[in-house]
Amino acid sequence: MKTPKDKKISFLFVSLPVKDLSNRWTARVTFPPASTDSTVIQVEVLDGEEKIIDKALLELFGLKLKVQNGLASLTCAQFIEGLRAERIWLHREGRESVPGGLTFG
Amino acid sequence: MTDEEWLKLVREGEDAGWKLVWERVVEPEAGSSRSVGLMRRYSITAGDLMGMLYEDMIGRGKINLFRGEGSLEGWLRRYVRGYILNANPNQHGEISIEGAHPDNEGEQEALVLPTEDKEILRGETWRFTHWIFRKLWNTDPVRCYVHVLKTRYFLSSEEIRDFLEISSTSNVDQIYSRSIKFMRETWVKHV
Repeated sequence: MKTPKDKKISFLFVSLPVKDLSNRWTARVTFPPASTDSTVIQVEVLDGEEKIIDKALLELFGLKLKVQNGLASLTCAQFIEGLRAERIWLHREGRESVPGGLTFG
Repeated sequence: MTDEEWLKLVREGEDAGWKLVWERVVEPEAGSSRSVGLMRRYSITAGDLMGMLYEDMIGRGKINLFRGEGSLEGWLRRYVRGYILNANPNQHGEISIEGAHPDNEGEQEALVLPTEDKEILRGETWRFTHWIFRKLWNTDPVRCYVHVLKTRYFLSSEEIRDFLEISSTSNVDQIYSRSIKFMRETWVKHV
């Protein structure tokens, strides 16, 4: 895979609607320009108030990514491999696990 | 003076015509029980109403929309009522009464003006679009990625093919057109 040389591209994932608004989350996956299979990409994970989520587990396309200080990472190849999977969940200790999906933004 | 004579004076901006507009339309409406409270609340005066009416009728040529169905007085009074209601800062949108029916004289007349809050409409449309996009995600996540890359980042089909490792550009185009079709059909189905 390769991304355009002149553009940074982000995909924004958001939690599905939940009763307890404090369980909302967003995860932004950012591809730098000219990314290739081996490029490591960052995932920025925030809560519903746009504050970083310190510690969590982001289940993204079958991968269980540790979120620390609001950040997780994976390679471009891993992202593309899991592209067709719908399953995106954020697990936080002491909280309800909440699924999510891609959105605009 | 007949309505036709009065209309001619008003259309030509004659003082005599507009004096009658003040006496028969603006002043009575501004002094009516239903308008007094609203005008005070929205800080609008009879002079403001007169100015707005002149601007619409002469400045924008709306006097030529009068078709002679009902009285000129009643027709002009509808505009004045509309200005008062539109002065509400919490109400957005345009008021148009060009298609008004012949007037019913008197204070008991039930006047319904077409209004819509554009801000609310815009917010609802945005929320509904997000909801449809989520349905698309549940159907086929790849359609969502292609949709975002086309509409948000304006990538070409070649760039998307290379990014998402889709077999061909025609396949990218097909996925994109299916995403649009799905969203359009879902919109129509649920609106």
